[in-house]
Amino acid sequence: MTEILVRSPGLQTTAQDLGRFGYQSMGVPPSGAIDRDALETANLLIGNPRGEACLECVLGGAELECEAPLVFAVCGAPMDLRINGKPAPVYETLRAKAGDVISLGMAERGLCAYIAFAGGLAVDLVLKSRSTYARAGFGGWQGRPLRAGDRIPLRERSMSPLSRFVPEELRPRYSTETTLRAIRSHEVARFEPESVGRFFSEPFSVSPKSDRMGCRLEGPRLVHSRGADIVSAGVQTGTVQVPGDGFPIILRADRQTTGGYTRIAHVIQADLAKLGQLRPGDSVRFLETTVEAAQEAWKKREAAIVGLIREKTDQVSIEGTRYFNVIVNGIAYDVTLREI
Amino acid sequence: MAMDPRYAVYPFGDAALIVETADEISESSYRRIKGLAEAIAENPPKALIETIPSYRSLLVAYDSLLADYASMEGAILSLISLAEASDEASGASISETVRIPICYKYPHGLDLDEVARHTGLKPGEVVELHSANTYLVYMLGFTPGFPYLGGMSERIATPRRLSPRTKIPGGSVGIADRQTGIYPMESPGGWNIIGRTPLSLFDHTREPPALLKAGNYIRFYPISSDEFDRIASDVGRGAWAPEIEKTRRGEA
Repeated sequence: MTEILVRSPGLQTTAQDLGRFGYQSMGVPPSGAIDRDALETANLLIGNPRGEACLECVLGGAELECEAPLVFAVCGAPMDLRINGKPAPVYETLRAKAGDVISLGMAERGLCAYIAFAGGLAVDLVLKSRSTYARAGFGGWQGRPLRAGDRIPLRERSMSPLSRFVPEELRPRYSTETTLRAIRSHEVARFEPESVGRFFSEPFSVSPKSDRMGCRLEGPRLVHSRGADIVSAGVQTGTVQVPGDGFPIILRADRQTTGGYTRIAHVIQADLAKLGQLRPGDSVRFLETTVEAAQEAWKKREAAIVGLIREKTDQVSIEGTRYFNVIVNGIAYDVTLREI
Repeated sequence: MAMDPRYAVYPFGDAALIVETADEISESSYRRIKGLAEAIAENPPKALIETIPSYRSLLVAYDSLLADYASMEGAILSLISLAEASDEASGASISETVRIPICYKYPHGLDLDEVARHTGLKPGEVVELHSANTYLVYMLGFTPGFPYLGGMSERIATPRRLSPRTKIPGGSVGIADRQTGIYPMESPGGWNIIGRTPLSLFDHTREPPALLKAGNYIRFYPISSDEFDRIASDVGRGAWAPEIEKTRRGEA
């Protein structure tokens, strides 16, 4: 079995896929990639199913040694990617030989990068997902972030010789100033109208206390009109709740499934990837939108993500075998044709 | 469709909606949440992802690529009518009561004496009051498998400890103000610990992973330290099945 040796996990590296759904009524958070755009793009670049489990590296610093030849791709926050110390391109299909060392420098902007390996990580499904939920110690690799010395197994997969990339102009831009589109909560009347106005117009700053559970904001103090606490009720990733101190918390993938603080707004699905990439010190604003516009934006994102991928060559021919890449109903397939 | 005045439905972001009941928190109003959750589970709309029940609301998460808000709201309003009609027809629903053994003895019941001191009761009376009532599981949350329970006697209400413990063993049963609950896994916490169950409230290798579900009733019964060890060993071998009584509730 192909394995990768973790020489250094960097700040925090975990196995994540698109998350764990169907168990929230039992208090199990969804977990999963906090930037699913980057995870899906990395998988598409190497012909994996879009939601295959990847390594999520927070702020960078990871160093991995390949114990066998493998195909991989790195997407997300810009980090100095190197193979054996030599710079290598992100957003592109890459190949490594046995003994090669893949390293990621610290992120210049944004929060996490995703490393996808062809075949995917051979970690067990726990409650239908390979995502790590470290707080309860299950999922991913042994229910915890990677440590130096871990050997992570990969699933075997025949390697396509195709090479793909995402053109520079189609890659997401990570900035220290982000605007998130958000929908007003039905509890908005529990805030002073002036505070609602400030929420949707003034900039907030991302607090260092942010993590995979939530993005905590500092800035204008929001004022509740009828107290900060509500009877505990279900929440979603992207829900913006405001505790008694008046500073909003935007819920991320490892959030609890219910919460007891008044909700002011919900970040829309199409902007959750941007939410995931917010790092301490970044500035963020909220732009109000409607449910209809948000659902339209999510449909567009769904159609656009496959469209990011370009082939370096449309077809490759090696020793009588021809390789094609075909996209049917938004799913990319490697097609191998051999004369018989 | 005319809106049933006992419910309100609102968008909750662009991939969920929330159904709230008009009433205050009570067992009888919670019946609507449970009834609707069951109606949705039996007739799931195509775009349904999952539901999260709580004291007086039901969050319904859906795939917005398969249904927009208007069509999802329509589907849920139909299911509200269906749930109300079947509730009125039967006048009652089947409830499951899970019996949970608890050892209230030291060292499991770390703060039993403290609760007795605070309430002016004898430790044995605290145990008697705690294990006499039937509790309703309104929801699971906070950590996987943690039940939010209603129905505790106010006579044993005790405020949280001034300084929380950094480590409470999984299965510990606590009191915080007028609430009682069970920690499914080792965690920090400020509740007064009056006992511990050898049952595993959450096990990610099990399907379903949580012992309880929202809408269950539970009853505690006292066991000795020896019984605790015996049941814990059976649980460890996967040889323990909790006792569940099925009863009809709400009948006039």
